[in-house]
Amino acid sequence: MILKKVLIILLLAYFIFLFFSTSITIKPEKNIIPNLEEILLSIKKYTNSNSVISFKSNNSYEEFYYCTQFVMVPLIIENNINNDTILYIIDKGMNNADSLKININYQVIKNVSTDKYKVFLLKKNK
Amino acid sequence: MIVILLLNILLTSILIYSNLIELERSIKTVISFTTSMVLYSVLYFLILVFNFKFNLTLIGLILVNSLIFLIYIKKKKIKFNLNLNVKKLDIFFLLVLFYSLYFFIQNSNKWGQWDAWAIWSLHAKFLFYTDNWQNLFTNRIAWTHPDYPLMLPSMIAMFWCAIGDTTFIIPFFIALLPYIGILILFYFSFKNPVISIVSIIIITLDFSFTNRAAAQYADILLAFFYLLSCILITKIIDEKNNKSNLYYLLGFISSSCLWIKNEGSVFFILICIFIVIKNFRNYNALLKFGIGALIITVVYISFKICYAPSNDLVSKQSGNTLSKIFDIKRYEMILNYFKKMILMKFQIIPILAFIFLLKWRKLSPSLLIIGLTLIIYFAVYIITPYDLQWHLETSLERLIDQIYPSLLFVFLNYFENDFKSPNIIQETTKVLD
Repeated sequence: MILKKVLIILLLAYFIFLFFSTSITIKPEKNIIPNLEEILLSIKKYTNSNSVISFKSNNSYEEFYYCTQFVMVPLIIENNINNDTILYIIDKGMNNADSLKININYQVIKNVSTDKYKVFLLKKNK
Repeated sequence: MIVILLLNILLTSILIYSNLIELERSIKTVISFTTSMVLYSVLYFLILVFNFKFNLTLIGLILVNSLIFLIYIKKKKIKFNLNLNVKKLDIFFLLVLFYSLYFFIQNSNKWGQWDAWAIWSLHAKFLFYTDNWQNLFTNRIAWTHPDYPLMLPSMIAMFWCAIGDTTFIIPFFIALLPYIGILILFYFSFKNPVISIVSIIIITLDFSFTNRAAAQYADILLAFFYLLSCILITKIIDEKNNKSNLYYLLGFISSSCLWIKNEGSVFFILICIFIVIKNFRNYNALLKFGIGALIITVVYISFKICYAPSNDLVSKQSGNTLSKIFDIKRYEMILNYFKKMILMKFQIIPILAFIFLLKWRKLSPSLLIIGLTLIIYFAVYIITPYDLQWHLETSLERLIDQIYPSLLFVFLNYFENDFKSPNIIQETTKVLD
């Protein structure tokens, strides 16, 4: 009986050890959220948390836009250029990285760059 | 975090030691834990709606809970007895549990699969920002389905709030709970130990099920509630007591499906119909079920009326719905996809269904409810405004996941009823012990 109890306690201890050790080394995400977090969190400070911002990028994969929205919560990011504020992201890994041009009607509020992305927060001139 | 855990333990203990419910202690523990988690998610939603202070509300609740708990112990003169009588079978179960846990972690990714972060954790992130949480409810981001119920997001957001950080570990941990819960329910719901072992082995060795559980979607959470509801229905039928207090629990657990996913409403309505038919003019049982279901139903309806934008499947319907209903090709396509999916990823179901058709043929209420749920899911595919092939490819597997554990339980319950003789159970237990 005592042996059984000891075995149970050992198993439970192993269980706790296993859970914490393996959950720390959990596989990295399949998405680009951390890369975007690295650059977008500094941009987030320059926005009003209740505002709706447009999104434009040379990376046209849906996932890229969705990840941007994930990082920018509680802001609403729309995949169009209809709003006065635009989040303009250049993905340096894409072939068309130089194709995006900033419209003359917008002024740059903030720009940040990493080895992977270049981000501009643009506001429409009044 | 500690505060929340403490509250949980308090709530859990109240139910474990209460004599209100006639159930095995382990199932009672799972139900108590589940009830607490559902109540937290509702509580967090109410904190957001009424703009209460998160920490103050929790401390207040802890005090109230502690008081109720102490009064309850004093009144009922309950003695705590930590019984560590373990059988060999329990050790085997623990080993299986560790193995599944290890496999679950091996299959997990930070932030889970696509829908996990693009829907559930994204919603949770909105709810984490207590001043701007209502930003979520707009059709500007309709792709994230802002009309989806908030049980999973509010659970995640509440724990995030408690630790003050939106870390990936919380959605991961919350996804693990229903998976482990399903294994525990399977192990303890059957009286025959052979059936218990067979059931957990089937689930544990179903690598694709574990994989989908590790994806951190809400479907496994819903599957857990479907399973728990089916277990409660079986217990109610076995009890043959029209005044059973299990009706409170069935009301609460089945209504919780509403608060997880929109599909849950189908299952809940079917259970309501079953309860009304079974207890026609038995107002006591109906009242108990109604009281149990009241909190979640009120919260869900308020959420749908006051906050949720319109559902895409409803708002995108056009004038050709009738022509879709009469289009035989759509039915064929759905059936073919279903057949393919079942044979590829849920092979155990056709085997059990075949044995069922050969041996029993008599529909149990749970099997009827699951079958009807599936038929209603198919009906939604018939009239879906999206491209049918795309819709089937992206969601059918998850829908079958929702009913898979319940279906397994119902079929295995037929086996158990065949071996219900107490002698057989005693002998098998002796051999295994």
